[in-house]
Amino acid sequence: MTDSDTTAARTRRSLATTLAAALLGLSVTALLVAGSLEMYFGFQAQQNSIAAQQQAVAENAAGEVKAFFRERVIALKAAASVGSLLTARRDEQLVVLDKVLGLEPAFRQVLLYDARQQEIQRVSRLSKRSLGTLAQFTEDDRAEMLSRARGGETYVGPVRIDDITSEPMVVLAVPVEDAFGDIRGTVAAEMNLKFMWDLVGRLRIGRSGRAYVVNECGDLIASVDIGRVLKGENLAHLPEVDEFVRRGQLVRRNTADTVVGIQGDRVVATHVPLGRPDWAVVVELPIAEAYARVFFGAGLSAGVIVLSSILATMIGLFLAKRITRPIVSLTRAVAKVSAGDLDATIAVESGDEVGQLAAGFNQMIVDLKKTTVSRNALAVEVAERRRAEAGLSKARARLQREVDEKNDFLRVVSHDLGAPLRNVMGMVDSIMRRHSEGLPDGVKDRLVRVRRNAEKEMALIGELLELSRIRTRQGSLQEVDVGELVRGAAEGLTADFEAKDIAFSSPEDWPTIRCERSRIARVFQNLIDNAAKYMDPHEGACIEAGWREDDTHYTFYARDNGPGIAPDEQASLFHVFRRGRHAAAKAEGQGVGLAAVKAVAEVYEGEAWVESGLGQGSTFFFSLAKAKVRCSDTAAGPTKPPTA
Amino acid sequence: MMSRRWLATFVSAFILLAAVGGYLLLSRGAGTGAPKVHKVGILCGLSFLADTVVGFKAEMASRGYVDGQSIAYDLKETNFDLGEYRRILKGFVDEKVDLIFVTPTEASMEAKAITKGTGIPVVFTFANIEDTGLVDSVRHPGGNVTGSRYPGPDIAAKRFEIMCELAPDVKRILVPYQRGYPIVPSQLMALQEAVAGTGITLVEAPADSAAELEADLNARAASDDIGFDAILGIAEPLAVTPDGYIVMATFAAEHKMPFGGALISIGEHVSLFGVNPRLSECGKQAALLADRILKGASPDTVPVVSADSYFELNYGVAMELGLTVSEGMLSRADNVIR
Repeated sequence: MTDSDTTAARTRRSLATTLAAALLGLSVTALLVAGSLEMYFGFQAQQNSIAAQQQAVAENAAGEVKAFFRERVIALKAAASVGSLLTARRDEQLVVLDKVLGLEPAFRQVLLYDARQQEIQRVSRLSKRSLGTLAQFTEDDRAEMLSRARGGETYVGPVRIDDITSEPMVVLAVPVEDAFGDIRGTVAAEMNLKFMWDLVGRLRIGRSGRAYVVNECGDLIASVDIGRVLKGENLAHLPEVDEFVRRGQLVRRNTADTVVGIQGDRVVATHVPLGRPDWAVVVELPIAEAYARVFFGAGLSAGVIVLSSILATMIGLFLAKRITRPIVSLTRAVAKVSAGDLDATIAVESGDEVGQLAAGFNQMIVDLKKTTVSRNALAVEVAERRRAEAGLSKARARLQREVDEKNDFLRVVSHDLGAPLRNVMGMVDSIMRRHSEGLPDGVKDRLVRVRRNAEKEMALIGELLELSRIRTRQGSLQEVDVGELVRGAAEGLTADFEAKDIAFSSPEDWPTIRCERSRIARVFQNLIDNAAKYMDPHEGACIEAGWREDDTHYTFYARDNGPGIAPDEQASLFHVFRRGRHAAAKAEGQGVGLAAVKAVAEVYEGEAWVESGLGQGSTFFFSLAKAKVRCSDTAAGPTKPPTA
Repeated sequence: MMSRRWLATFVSAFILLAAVGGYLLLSRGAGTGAPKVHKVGILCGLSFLADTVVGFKAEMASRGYVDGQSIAYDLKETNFDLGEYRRILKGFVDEKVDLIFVTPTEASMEAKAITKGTGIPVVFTFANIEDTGLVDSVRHPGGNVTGSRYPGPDIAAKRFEIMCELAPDVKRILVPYQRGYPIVPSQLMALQEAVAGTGITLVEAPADSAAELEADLNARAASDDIGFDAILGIAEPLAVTPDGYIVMATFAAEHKMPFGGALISIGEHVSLFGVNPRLSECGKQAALLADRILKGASPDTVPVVSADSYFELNYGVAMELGLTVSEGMLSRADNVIR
């Protein structure tokens, strides 16, 4: 993996993780809040429902137990209501009691007491030698039983445990009335409560609930678990039983609180006192069943939250990947572009902001590619120019060397030629001075021509030396009134003007420039002299000197209305030894003056040129760069140049 | 391409999660694994007590034990053979059964002895706890044994009272019994107490077998004075096994004397009355205790339960004997055979 890939992966991981975590956090928070609220209110509603349902179940169970008890009392009262039971014969009394005993399996013994509270009959499933739990009856118990019965009440004695079987027994007693309603005796029965066990065992308390019966002391007297009954367990330590033992009355609740149950587990318990006997039916529903719907709802909510969280995670990851993928692609593409690969693009997968960003990036790459192409072309051009400039520089240097060599050549030639010419002229002068009398006229004439040609050559050499020095040897600079130079040059040619009847004119105001006075003066002299020299005598002949300026240069000129110069000759006029055909025919010249003009102009970063045509006169210009001739103060030039 | 792959992954994961969640939800009520199969060894030591096994299995079934699925019975039946009792019980111990259901008294005593120290719980039915040392007490049995007790002494006295009530003229009552049978003395003692002051004489007739009893009866019959007016069976092998019962019933019928005891009939042989717990109910009572023990309770904390006696009266026999049966007696009887 490359560094860019690693960076991209880190970026993607960071963004993806952040986005996924944000989505997950939001989703889970919302789900938790919603689930918690739903569970809370569901729990409240369910608790009320459970409490009401539990109460109904308990009351129904209590009704079953009461009915069981009531049926036995009715059986006993039926026996008591048999006519003249107390006054019937003994065998008749036994038949009645035997029938009750036979009809009701729960009765273990049935007894008949007379008005004097004496037992007069007893039938039993036990042998006569056994009294069962009646043996535990004290005189006080017996007195209370008979007293209650005599008072017209149904007596229910305390629960007693049989010594042999450990089974709980209780004694019932009802009054025996005569035809007038007077109480004449008592019928009592020892009832085995284990027959109530089946009843309690049949009670269905939900799917896994249980019911049991306790007496006023909290002793377990009926339960599906007969072993615990036989052990005579006291359940007063259980909160629900304890409440019955302490309060003994029905308490209706709106909540289904959980307590420890008879099996030691957490249950929702409710008790309903029977009233008479002073027992209570307790029903218990294990918390798992009682709150099954709550638990199921909670589990379902938890499951939904878990599934939703997983779903949110996956969606979050998916969205994060989807959102960050173009960003990662963008990052990679930027890295590629940075490395110079302008073919990198990003796939535009959506029309959202990210998609627009990708599209924008792609467009930027296209534009960048175009710009880069232009830049490359420019770079190529610059390189080519640099190569050309280098070539040009080399050429210029070579040319400079050649010019320098030429100048050196001219200087050497001029110097070396000057000496012999001066000797020639000296010898000619000497011959003419010493021997002119003896020389024939032809010789003297030839000597004169030799002397004149030598002078011309010396003048030419002088011109050439000056031309070479213009470029190599700068004279002293001084501030010069150009008009003074022009006027000086014109004054030197006054004879020529008058000879050809040439009118010379120039403006009054000229600029003052800082220059080599003699050379600039020579330039004007050459131009005005040329104009006068090649002027055909004619009426209205005139020469005009003038100047103009622009931002960078002063331009000076000399204009005439002479014969003009053919266009094909104009380009070579400023070369050394080049002269126009017309000029060569009309006047003598060395062909160096205009070359010197041009050389001076170039020294001052200016130019020299001519505007002319045959029969149209000529105007010779030369310009000087202001930067090269600017005076130290602002006293340069007139405020306004004359019109050219 | 990426989206499809993500979608496929997402759908697969969701289906997997939903399947796991659904399975967990659906399996909530199905329990966490295969139910334990309880191995229960059953020793029915007297053939006439077979109904106790029927009642035991029926009650266990009603409590959710499915034969072959959650409970496996190993039923062994024999008929009063102590050696066989030991062999069968030893087999149960070797098999390491989860519980032994045993009847009657002798088999229960053998079971207690053989399982001592093994931790295998024993639930008995139709067994006397008086004078047998089977349990310490009804409420606290102790050891590894509990069960449904046979109310021997009390029911013996009750049978005597019924005999007296049905045949008030009887003065001498023959009481046959297996010689040396452990629970006999307690019953004889109860009878003696019941007889006291009634003017009735109990004539004990111990025997080692039905044949000896038959010989004894025949010898008495051959004498000038047969020596008894009625035969009263108690809870001991001769009175409840076919051989002994038939000897007694046949003798009583031949000599037109009342014969009552535990059983009302065996086959075509009948008696005047029978007072005994109902066998199937005894089995059911024992099943309640077995259920509790199989669910984790220690036998020594499971109190012994008592079987209810069941009074059956053969009115036809009474008529044949010329006895007067009171309306009260008829009402009191749980079952009257005409």
